[in-house]
Amino acid sequence: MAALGNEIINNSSTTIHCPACKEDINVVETQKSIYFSCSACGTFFERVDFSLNTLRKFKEEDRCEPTIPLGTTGIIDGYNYTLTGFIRKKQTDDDIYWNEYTFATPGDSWYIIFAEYDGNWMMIWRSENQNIHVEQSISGEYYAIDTGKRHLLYLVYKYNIIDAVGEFDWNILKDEELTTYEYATPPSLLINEERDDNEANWFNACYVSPKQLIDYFKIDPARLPKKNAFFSFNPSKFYPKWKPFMYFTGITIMLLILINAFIAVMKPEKEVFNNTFECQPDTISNNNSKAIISPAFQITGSAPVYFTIRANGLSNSWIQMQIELINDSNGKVYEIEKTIEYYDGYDDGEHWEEGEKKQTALLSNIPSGTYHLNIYPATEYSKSTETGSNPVFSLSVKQNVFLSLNFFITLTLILIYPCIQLVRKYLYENSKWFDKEYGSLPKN
Amino acid sequence: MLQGLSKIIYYAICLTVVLGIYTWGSISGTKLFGDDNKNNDGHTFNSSGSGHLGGHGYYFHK
Repeated sequence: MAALGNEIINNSSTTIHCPACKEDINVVETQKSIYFSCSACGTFFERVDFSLNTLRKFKEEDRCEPTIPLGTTGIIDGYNYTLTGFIRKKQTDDDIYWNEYTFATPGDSWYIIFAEYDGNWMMIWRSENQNIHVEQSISGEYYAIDTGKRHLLYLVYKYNIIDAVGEFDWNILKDEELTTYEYATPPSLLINEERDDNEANWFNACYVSPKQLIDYFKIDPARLPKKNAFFSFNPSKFYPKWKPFMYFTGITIMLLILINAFIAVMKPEKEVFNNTFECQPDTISNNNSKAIISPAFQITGSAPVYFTIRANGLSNSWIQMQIELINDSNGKVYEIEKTIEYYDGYDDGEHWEEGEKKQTALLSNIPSGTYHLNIYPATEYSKSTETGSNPVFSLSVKQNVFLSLNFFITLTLILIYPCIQLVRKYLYENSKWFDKEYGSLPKN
Repeated sequence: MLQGLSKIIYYAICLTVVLGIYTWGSISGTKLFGDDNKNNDGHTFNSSGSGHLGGHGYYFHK
């Protein structure tokens, strides 16, 4: 314990002398700060009334110069902050080191901490909500529930203080008794510091880019430590885009559905023609079957026109047909060719079948007008001789059918990029948070 | 929202174009990725001609 001169113990003094090396230590929070650490010799001491008690001398080999000089000021969210303390910590059971910079708001009890690990920065502040509860999932993982949001526990550790510089209003050495639990929902973090007596303090943390840090404190970029890409808390570059990106995708999908609903109301699906025809052999010309000419029907377009051809009575035979949709006013022809073939039988007592008795076709962008169909069928009449009847088929024509391929391809085009980004995000977080160097999830 | 939109402007333009094409396809009744029309040259039916417009040899000829 060292006695102090009156000029030093005065609470309004802005400097205090290190009890070991007598180095001047500037004091910002003259009323609050009672713990100090000397930048020259690494002595950590407390001020008690008119005395200074040395609590620890940090090892020379553990000491390092703060990236941000003490006394640095900056404005964050309208509050003035001054860097009053620097702490270097080491994980108790591993060679993991990080630095913490304590920024105080002079005259106020509020402070924030900037933590730096391998060139990656986080801003940490005491959570307004200290009523956060932890629950365990069926699969054994722990989650902290903060206002309905779940944060997965990914790290539990204790640490030692191996260096400190500046002034503090609490005994930082007592923090070595704390067990720290970190719950992650990238890019934010919930930190719970628990003492052995179960006293818990919750903190929020979020990633801060070097650019933000430079903006806040006007730091020389050359001073900032190089970022290690393999051990980072930083979110991917696409994080700032993520929210608007998902909003816009959602809005686009909603618009797609609304457009469909609007089209369905304005241009409802309607059957414009339906008839059954019998194939008849053409005995006059060399053609296989007589041509069929349908009655006229109206199409209100522009519309997609959907043909359904059924030959339910077909068995072990085929019908091939060319169908022409002809506009009666201008003679424009739309042409489709379809073959229906269906075979079945028994092999070794087992029934087999091949082909289908139904075919469909779609003609798109058909203008309004009066139309008729010319149908040119062809079939095997030898089979008809066996059955005693000619092949029969029905033909249905519908307009304004739902163009499902258009819809699903558009939906795919809308979703393909978000899906790629989701995979990227997943892979990025997986590689970052569960990197073997970083430490694994606790088993319990 | 608009500020966020500026970050994804190219993506927003692409989606707007995709949605625009889809809307045009729906209103005009156009299948965007091909349909079953075999008559791609758009010729007209000639009622005084031979009638049948290609296809198999055994098809009916008017």
